[in-house]
Amino acid sequence: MSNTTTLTLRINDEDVTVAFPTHHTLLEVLREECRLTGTKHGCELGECGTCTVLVDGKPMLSCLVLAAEMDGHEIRTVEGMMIGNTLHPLQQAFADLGAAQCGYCTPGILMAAEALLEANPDPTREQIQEALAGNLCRCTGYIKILEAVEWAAATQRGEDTPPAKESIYGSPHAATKGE
Amino acid sequence: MRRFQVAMPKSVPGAVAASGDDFDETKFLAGGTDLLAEIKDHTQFPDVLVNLKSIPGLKEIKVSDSGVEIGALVTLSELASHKEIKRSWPALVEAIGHAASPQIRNVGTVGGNLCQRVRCWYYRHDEYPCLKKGGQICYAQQGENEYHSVFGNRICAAPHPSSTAPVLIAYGAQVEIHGPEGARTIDLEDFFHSPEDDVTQENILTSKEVVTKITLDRANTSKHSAYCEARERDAFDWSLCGATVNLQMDGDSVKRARVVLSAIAPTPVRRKDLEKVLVESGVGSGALEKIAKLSIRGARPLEQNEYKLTLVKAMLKRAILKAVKG
Ligand SMILES: Cc1cc2nc3c(=O)[nH]c(=O)nc-3n(C[C@H](O)[C@H](O)[C@H](O)COP(=O)(O)OP(=O)(O)OC[C@H]3O[C@@H](n4cnc5c(N)ncnc54)[C@H](O)[C@@H]3O)c2cc1C
Ligand code: FES
Ligand code: FES
Repeated sequence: MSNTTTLTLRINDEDVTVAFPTHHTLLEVLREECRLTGTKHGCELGECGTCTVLVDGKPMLSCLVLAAEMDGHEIRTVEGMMIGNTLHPLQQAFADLGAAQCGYCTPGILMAAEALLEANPDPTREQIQEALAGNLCRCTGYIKILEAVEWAAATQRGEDTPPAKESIYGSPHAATKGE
Repeated sequence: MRRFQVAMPKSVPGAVAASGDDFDETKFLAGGTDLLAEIKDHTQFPDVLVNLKSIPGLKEIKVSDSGVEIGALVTLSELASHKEIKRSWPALVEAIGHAASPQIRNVGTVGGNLCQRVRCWYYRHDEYPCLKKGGQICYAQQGENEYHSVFGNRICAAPHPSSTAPVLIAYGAQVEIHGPEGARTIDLEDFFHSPEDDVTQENILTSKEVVTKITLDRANTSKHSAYCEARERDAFDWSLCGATVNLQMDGDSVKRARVVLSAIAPTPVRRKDLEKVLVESGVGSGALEKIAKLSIRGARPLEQNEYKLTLVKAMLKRAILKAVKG
């Protein structure tokens, strides 16, 4: 047992050897030792989801896991999302649809959404809501986020569909009712 | 976060040997979703975390003809997505589906869920030296007590937060515990203790005892089982009141019943009095009214939480009707 841990972490398909205090969380080590500041500090208590990263493909809260436990695990952060110089379809959809305002929740939401689309390329609105239930956003009101995930999913499936514009025009259901 | 070291035992006896004589010396680390938050909140001060994840064999779900053995380190997501659990213990899947968030369920373990500490905001705040932390008073009695217990709250009013515990109790679960004297198995119902027993801990474990597995017997499950809870927010919120009902039915009559209430008392509460009414009077509307009335007998609501009595009655009725439907 020691106060310092030295580990080779596998982050975004690269090996990074870092030394850090044993009691530091993955969030602290990503931001401080690895300089990957895309992953955000929020509540630090599991309540907001902005620190979400993928560990072996599953969304986890980097504020509540110890970096010392990451030996042999694959970590993905928002910095690993771009494909070469091209934005990931989720990033592109969030930018195009204005699904980010202050942007503080965005990295965490992108990671949770990426894991969802990896497991389920054609999710329903309800499944998207469930997958993002642990991610709080204080700006957007969520509708644009849901639309962006739906649009990115369609793009990834190779469909050329226009995005839903419920956030602008109201829900189709409400429109029919009004007629 | 306060500095600590991490021990990586390779076996259960190794974990017991690495544990100290009190909780300030060592704490067992499972998923860490509760423990790390407690250390950050300055409610726990362990010098060493004994990591249970380094022990092989505690992460398995073993299905047999007689039932299922769930390793304490199985995550909530793994449990809720297991085929056999979905088929034979559906109320457990229902309860897990409402607990915390996907991220937390991917890391939080079933053992940790049973051993998690209370969420009372006075307990979690380092400026309130409440009874649980060795202080002199329960601040919730006269304070902000909207979310607190309405039963058994005279000493400490913090409700037990586990969503899996009531359902596991309703299914007659047993827990295996390892300590310096070896292993023992007890009914999960007897695992929790009230503030009268010891206000500083919510269960019987000493700092040297580890939960290793939870066992469910097929004889105690039924398709007529259901869990219902009320929350303030639809997603990602704590239960305000939960009711679990597990009925063995023969036509319209109830042969055996288990009823457990949660989030309304310092422990999950098995209600044998209500079980008796179900067996004697069945599930008709008259019986339901009788049960609802009886369910809040002995309650002691605090200034801000009388609404929980309405929830107890409503969740119970809802769970019974859902269980009957199967
Ligand atoms: C925002 C938020 C919302 C939540 N909502 C809910 C909810 O609605 N319902 C619900 O039930 N839970 C909820 N939780 C709690 C969550 O489910 C628990 O934190 C989790 O299950 C704990 O498991 P863990 O493995 O992470 O435990 P840890 O954090 O590792 O451990 C928790 C405690 O149990 C002890 N411990 C753990 N495993 C063992 C063992 N095998 N033997 C002996 N002692 C052990 C530890 O020493 C520690 O004191 C929520 C948590 C958060 C942060
Ligand atoms: S910073 Fe991790 S959940 Fe809020
Ligand atoms: S965009 Fe500001 S919190 Fe979500």
